[in-house]
Amino acid sequence: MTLNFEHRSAAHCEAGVVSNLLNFYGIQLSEPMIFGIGAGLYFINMPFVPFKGNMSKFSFRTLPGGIFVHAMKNLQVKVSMKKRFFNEEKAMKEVDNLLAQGIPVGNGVGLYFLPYTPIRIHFNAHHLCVVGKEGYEYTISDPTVSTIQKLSYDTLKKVRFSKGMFAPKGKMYWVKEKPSSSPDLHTAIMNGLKTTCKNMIGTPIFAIGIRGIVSLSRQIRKLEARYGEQDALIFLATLLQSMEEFGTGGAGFRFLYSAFLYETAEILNKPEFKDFATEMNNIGDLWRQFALECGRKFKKRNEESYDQLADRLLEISAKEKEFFVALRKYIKTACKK
Amino acid sequence: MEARVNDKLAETTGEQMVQYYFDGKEWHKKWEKKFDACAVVMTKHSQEIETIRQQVLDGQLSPLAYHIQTNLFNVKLLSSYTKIPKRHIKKHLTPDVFNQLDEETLKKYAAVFEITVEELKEISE
Repeated sequence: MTLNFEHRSAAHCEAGVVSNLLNFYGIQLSEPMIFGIGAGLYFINMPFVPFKGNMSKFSFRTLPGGIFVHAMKNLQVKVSMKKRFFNEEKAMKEVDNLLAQGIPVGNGVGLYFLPYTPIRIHFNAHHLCVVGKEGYEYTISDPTVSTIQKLSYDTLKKVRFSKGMFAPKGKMYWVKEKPSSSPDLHTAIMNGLKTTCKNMIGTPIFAIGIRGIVSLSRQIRKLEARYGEQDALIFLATLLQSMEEFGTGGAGFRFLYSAFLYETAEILNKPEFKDFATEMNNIGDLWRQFALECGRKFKKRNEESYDQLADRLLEISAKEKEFFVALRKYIKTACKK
Repeated sequence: MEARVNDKLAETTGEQMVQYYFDGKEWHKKWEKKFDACAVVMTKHSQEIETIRQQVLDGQLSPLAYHIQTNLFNVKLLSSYTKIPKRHIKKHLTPDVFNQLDEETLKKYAAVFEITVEELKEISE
């Protein structure tokens, strides 16, 4: 049995899954909209994580599950979520029961044992949607690949209970009640924007938001003295990986967020948001230029010094601070309902 | 600016992913090629594999150490998958202890790496 589920590819796995789930229930919202309403934009620099192998010390996104929780709360859709299971068989049975009632189920999984992706990394914050079961095989819709895929019972069990940092422990979520077709988009978008502004400029911790970017630039200045030549290049490569390669839509979600602001301008009939969108797009270009310079650095083609790279980050942080302060002010004054 | 940067991106080889781009009026989604930063991260990794392979051939480490390195595992992660205590796994990294292991423990390790027990006992070229 397979549900009539439309598979749409996306840049970010979780926003893609939520967008596809809502599309199944008749709410047409694109992936950037879900990303914005769910307040997915974030920055955290984690100097306390050990620098070993391919472990990521930075993140451009919120914790796994954050986008789903925030987006559904802001859109006032009633959902259910089971955070962990102790029995693996029971967790699989639960999915079967929901599928029999005609409900698609979102799942948190690990990337390492998924057969169709070439990425071999122990990364446990991936999301996919189970949409059907035939005999011993499940049909799944994974937004980061272009077509619908099939997984056997054992593989699905293995990926749902993968171990390590942020282990999913069989986490699953689904829409409990069929939502009304026209949600209150104005308050939803405003709540999403407010949360993002708070995350980026209102957190009094050195590692999070704009302060995180500044602290990262400070770290890059001392990079070669601290790690040596080869490890410093690998540090830059891990930064580049989390910024451009692992499903961000480009430049650490900045282009995705810009697309959200652009759509907001049309939905709310406020052309000022288009200016914010172009501004965010320019910031995204700066991030991408920074990524290019990092790439040149480890390919050894007209490279810049570490000080110049750090200055680029400082410039980005100053521009982002300006952007978010202006955005918060605009929301407070002009966007009251 | 955007177009110029994307041209640079397309030069590098790799798998494809969804990228957003702006053409002046509207936002589009398209499949783009990746940077090859992953390859750079893996250079250090492959150097480590080579040193561990030499140590296994010299008889200082067991083949288990080699498989842990090639599959991007570490002792803590392997312990959580197999439910074997960390200090036991550390002992199994020495060849003398590894050669005396019973079939059940070997099967547990082989199941995690998705290989057979015979493959676990030897290292590939």
